[in-house]
Amino acid sequence: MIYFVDEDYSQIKPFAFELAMRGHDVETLADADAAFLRLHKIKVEAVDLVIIDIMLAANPDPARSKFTRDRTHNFKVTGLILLEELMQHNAAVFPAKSLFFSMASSRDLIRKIRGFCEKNNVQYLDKDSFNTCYDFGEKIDEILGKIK
Amino acid sequence: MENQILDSFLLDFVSILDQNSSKACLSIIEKLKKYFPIKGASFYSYAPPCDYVVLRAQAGFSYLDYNSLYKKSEHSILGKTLSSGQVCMVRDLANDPLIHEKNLVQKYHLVSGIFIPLNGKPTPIDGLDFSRSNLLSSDKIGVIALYPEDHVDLEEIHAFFNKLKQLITKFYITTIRTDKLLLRQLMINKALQSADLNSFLFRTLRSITEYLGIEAASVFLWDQQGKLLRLHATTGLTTTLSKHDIFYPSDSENISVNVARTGEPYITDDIIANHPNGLFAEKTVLPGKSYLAVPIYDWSLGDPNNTTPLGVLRAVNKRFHIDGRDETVPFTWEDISNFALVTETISMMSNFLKKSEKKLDDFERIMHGVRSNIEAVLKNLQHFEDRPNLMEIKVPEAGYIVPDSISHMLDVKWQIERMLGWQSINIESKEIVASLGKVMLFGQVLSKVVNLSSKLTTTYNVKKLDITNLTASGFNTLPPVRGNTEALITVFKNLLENALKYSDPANETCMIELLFEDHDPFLDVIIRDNGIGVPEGREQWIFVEGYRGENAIRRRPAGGSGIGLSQSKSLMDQMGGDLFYKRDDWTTFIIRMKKWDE
Repeated sequence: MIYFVDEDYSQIKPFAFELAMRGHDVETLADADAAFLRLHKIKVEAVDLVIIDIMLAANPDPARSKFTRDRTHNFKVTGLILLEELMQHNAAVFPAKSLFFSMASSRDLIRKIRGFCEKNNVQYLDKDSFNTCYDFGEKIDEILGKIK
Repeated sequence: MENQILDSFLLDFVSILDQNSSKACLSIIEKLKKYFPIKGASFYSYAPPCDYVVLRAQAGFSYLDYNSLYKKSEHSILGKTLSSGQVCMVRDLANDPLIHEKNLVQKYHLVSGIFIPLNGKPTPIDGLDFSRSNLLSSDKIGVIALYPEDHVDLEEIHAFFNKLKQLITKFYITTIRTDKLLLRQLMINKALQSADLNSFLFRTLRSITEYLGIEAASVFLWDQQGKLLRLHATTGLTTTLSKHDIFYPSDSENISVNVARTGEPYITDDIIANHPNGLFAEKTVLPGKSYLAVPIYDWSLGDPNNTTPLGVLRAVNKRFHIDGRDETVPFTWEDISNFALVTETISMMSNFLKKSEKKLDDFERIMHGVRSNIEAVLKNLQHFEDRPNLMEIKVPEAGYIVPDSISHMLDVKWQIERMLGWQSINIESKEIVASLGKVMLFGQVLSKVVNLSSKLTTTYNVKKLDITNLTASGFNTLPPVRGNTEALITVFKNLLENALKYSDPANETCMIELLFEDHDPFLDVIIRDNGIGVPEGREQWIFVEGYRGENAIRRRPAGGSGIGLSQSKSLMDQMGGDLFYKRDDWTTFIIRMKKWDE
């Protein structure tokens, strides 16, 4: 199973469709809290890859959310915080079976993402860097090949 | 004194007007020494509310010869001069109990002294104060001590300075105005060089501490909720502040919190003696002594007397660092007045930089939404190029590619409209008032908007939409209203899109209910939905431009700038109607329109 963690399903739909056409099972998790609940205890054999957006929504009810506005810098780095949490709770899966897939444009944010990725050995794929969904599918298949 | 010498003195004296107050106080006494038969002179500034006089400059002596650089004004000739406002004369310095600098008297064989008070009521800009405190309400500014040569006729010089004291005071006050002009210029330059609030505050603190001769300073501002007073910048400390001094909860007992809460400045000449229990946080090279914590008022909100300050500026140790003496002295009248200007400028620049940061943040979010949508359209359509036989493959998702792309394009349009703050009607130009007319609500507005909204479900990831059937509910029988078709479409579209955008992901179906009520001469259309709603207590904010609810931001961080509702309300106001939010089980908005009157 490949999980997309992104609140905007419509925007990742073309990518999810590409992976589905290649025979992968794809599921979308709509926000960071939903993703944490589903993934923090998931067994290693039940997941192939988790693709996480960085500017990511959290549970609309702050009382039921692990991801506060302050902690996530106004929800701009929710994805980074989510992966940190998952690494703490499920080290067998994370960060080995995860990557970031986002479209950050501010220099400050990109610096933060790169710093996190270097420190934790996580891949960052820029949505802009794929000319077509086919290229994206190829890249994901290549990554899955390495993980296996 | 001969008239010729007096003319030269006055001409020369005018040149101090170009100087700042630190240079001016030295120039004043040097010029007095040049034109009058005196052995030496000292310039003291007054330090309220501690009631000290602080040495700022001397001529004819050495700074090392002074017993102390500051002294209590009471029981001294300096205090007596300031309180009386009259030029005082002492004929026997060595035996006068009000003379404390006996070292100076002995070493330089000083016999008599003339003490000139600088008293005056400065204009508001010269004596810029903290509005709630009246720290600078007294007219005491400083004292000049002159020690004449032994042969001088004291009566004559006394009479002369009685006439000249007003002029000297006015000139000196003018140089304090120069301080402020320079400080303001300095801070504006720093703001223009800074990309964000914190870097502005840091650069500003570094410059003003250097300019005003202060060892260390810090700025704390309240967070958005007003619950934490947070450190934003600090300079001049030997060690970084401890974790406990980076922010303070609003209910903590602390000098900074108290100043930032009440607006009452705090000033002391000896912080360690007054607060020995660790309340003093800054570690400086010189032992911490003089300490000033002043409120930063939010001048953009009008009279600061009625508002909570934005935060607090703390300054530690006014330094006296000349000719081998490096000591701390109390903050003087000039320092307090200059700090009032510094905090006012910080407030002005903070508001400006906060606004620009917020706009950049909004821009970043909206651009993210726009780019994501455009990418989604391109990537969707690319599938057809990659797989020419796509439509023949039996994959249900393939059938959604074109409708998805259309809804993405609509979303791009929506995002761009909000980014530009542009709607069909230009609110600023009152054009709408002139173009009000008869609008058939059902045919011209509602049927179009509901139809359009139904197509946006994919865009907003709404699985199932249940929206009122307008015809079955009798909307086609509504009377015409007075308004502008484009403006009404904008308002209804905005509300229906919000219902979709902020639908509750926990609900399988997004339900939108439309109702109408006749309240002659008005017609109300009620839009209710089962979305995430408006958080309790935030109702009054939703029509404020730029406000987005916490839950709205959590739900969809990539889109929306909080402009829609404020614009919609403004449009309804202009059409003689209104827009309300009503607390209910569901999210309920009421659009009030005036019925058309032939």
